[in-house]
Amino acid sequence: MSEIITIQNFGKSYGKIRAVEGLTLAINSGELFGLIGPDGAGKTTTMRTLCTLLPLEEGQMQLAGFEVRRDVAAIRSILGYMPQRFSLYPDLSVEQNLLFFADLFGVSAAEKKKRLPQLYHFSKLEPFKNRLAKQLSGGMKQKLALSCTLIHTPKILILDEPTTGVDPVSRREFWQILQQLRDDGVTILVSTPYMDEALLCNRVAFMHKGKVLALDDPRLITKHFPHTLYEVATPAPQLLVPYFKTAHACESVQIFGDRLHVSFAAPLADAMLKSVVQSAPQPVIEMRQIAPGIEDTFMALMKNRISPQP
Amino acid sequence: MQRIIYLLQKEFRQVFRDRQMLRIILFVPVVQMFVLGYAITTDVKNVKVTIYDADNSFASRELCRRFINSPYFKFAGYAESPQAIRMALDNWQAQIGVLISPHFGRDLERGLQPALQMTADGLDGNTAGIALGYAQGILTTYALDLMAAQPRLVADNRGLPVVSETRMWYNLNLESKLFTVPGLIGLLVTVVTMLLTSMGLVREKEIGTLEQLMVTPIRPLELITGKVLPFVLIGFVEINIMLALAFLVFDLTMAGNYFLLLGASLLYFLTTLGLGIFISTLAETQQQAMFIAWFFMIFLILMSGFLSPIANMPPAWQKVTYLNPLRYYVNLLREIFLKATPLKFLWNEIVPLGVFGVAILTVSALKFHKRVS
Repeated sequence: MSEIITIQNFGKSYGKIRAVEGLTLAINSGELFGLIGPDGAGKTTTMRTLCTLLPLEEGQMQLAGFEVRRDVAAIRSILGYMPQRFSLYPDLSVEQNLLFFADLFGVSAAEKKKRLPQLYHFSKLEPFKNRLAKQLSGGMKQKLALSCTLIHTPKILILDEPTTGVDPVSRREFWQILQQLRDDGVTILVSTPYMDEALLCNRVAFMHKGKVLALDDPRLITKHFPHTLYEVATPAPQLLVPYFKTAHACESVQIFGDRLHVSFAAPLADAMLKSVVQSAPQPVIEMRQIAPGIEDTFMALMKNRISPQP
Repeated sequence: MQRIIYLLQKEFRQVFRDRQMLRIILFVPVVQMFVLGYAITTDVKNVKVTIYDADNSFASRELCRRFINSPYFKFAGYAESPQAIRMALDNWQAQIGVLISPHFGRDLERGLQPALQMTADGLDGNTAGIALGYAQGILTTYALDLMAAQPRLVADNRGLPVVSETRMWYNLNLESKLFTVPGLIGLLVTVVTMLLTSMGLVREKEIGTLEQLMVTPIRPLELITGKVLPFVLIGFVEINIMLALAFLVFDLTMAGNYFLLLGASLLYFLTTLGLGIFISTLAETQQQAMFIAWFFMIFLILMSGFLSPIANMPPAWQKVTYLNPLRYYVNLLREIFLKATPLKFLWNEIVPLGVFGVAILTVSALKFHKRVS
């Protein structure tokens, strides 16, 4: 597979704040690549710089062989960018929005005729084509925005949290469209705060404080989890947090709904496990070792980043 | 080029979709013209006058009659005493008080030049000054008439050897609407073009479409052109609406060339559109744009000589007004409208207007270009 997006040593500061630090990434052609990480991790900065919306000051970036610094026009013609916030004309209809962007991208009349039905087909927006964009539901708005970025059949799609604030059904539909586009050969770089969406990517990079902490197949990323994880079932998870934190030299304690996820540097011996359960100040129904999930992994990586391990 | 047309098409779709805004764009200047055309007036009429006639002779009553019958004065009744004049001025019943001394008629007969006291409410100095001028005028004609009737008064050589006959050119009756209405066109067009341009551009920023446009192959210059041209057209539509009002409602006639006026307006639009673009690079929200536009407008308007004559300003500030493009435009509007000044005498206004326009537009376009790319 050939690399279509390459980022070498990308760095960016806003005043004194270091947004991205020495980022190096390579995204393969035809890949659905996910960027995940908390707010302020530098995902949006990276994406906007790739889209030539922010000046590239440190490092190198290439898209399909074009230099981000130099070939701005060429990059814009092969790229589709969808920002985090809905940014189309609310006072134009669905079709007017689509046609306007088609015109700006110089899509020929014949191509438009072919492209529009395709976009309507997957977005299911055809019945609403005369509706004003502001009257669409959240999910439909995102599909319209995606359609607008696809109107010129871009090779590369960059989507910044496209499903934030969208209902679960629309989210699933949206990702089905993304997977279909990937199957059609479009390279997609997408950021998301949702771990279930991360699982749908070919590869994910986990970003934190401007750096990539892990990069892998999302199903394999849990192997980066550095500890042994136990799940504690208890009627009072909150009250047990200080117990685990102080009484035993555990690595971390996280509340997961009505359970606790407690990680230790190494697996506990059976006797040890028993004594931990018995000396707990609150009743512990069950404590068992489990395989870490994607979230556990990120939590652990974020924590480790503060006190890095050799 | 093609892309500019697409952008224009989009802009007009949006303008016509937003009926409310369309109504505002067309309706507001009409209302403003209607109200301000009448309201902004420097005409001094119906000045309330009270008279204390201590003489009550034939001569003094004749003088009173002239005040009472003057169209510029509104007689507020006789004062009972000199103190009553003061009272009337205090409680706003009169703006000017005339005190005719006892023996006024007798002294006049004897050629003793009797004194006459006039007290004016100087709070509004402008009105007071003009009103006193009118009063002076009444006295002068009164004196002239006296001399005509009684030639022996002239004999002591205190008469007027020269009689001035005043003619007001271009504005025969000194009606301020002739002065105000063309100036108003300049003001209202400033508001529409500058404010709407800046808000239109900032709106794209606010809803995020500016960024969406920037990832298309459109060039910043095309973007600016496409965003600004509709407001040029709207500006011209407004000028025509206001000209129609000037003719139909205010009974003005345009002395000069219509196309010369449009040409001057186009030059002036370079400035307002440039400022609009400039404002859009400073503001992040439409509210901010409005405030910044307001900041510029205050200076443009108050330093243009539209309201207070530039000649009345302190000398240093008079020089500053040469930096104000609206000054030239308002002058041009008045010159063309009232005096039909031929083009060859207008270069002193046209050249600076054009230079400012081109400079402001260029700087703003460059700044915009830098901001978006």
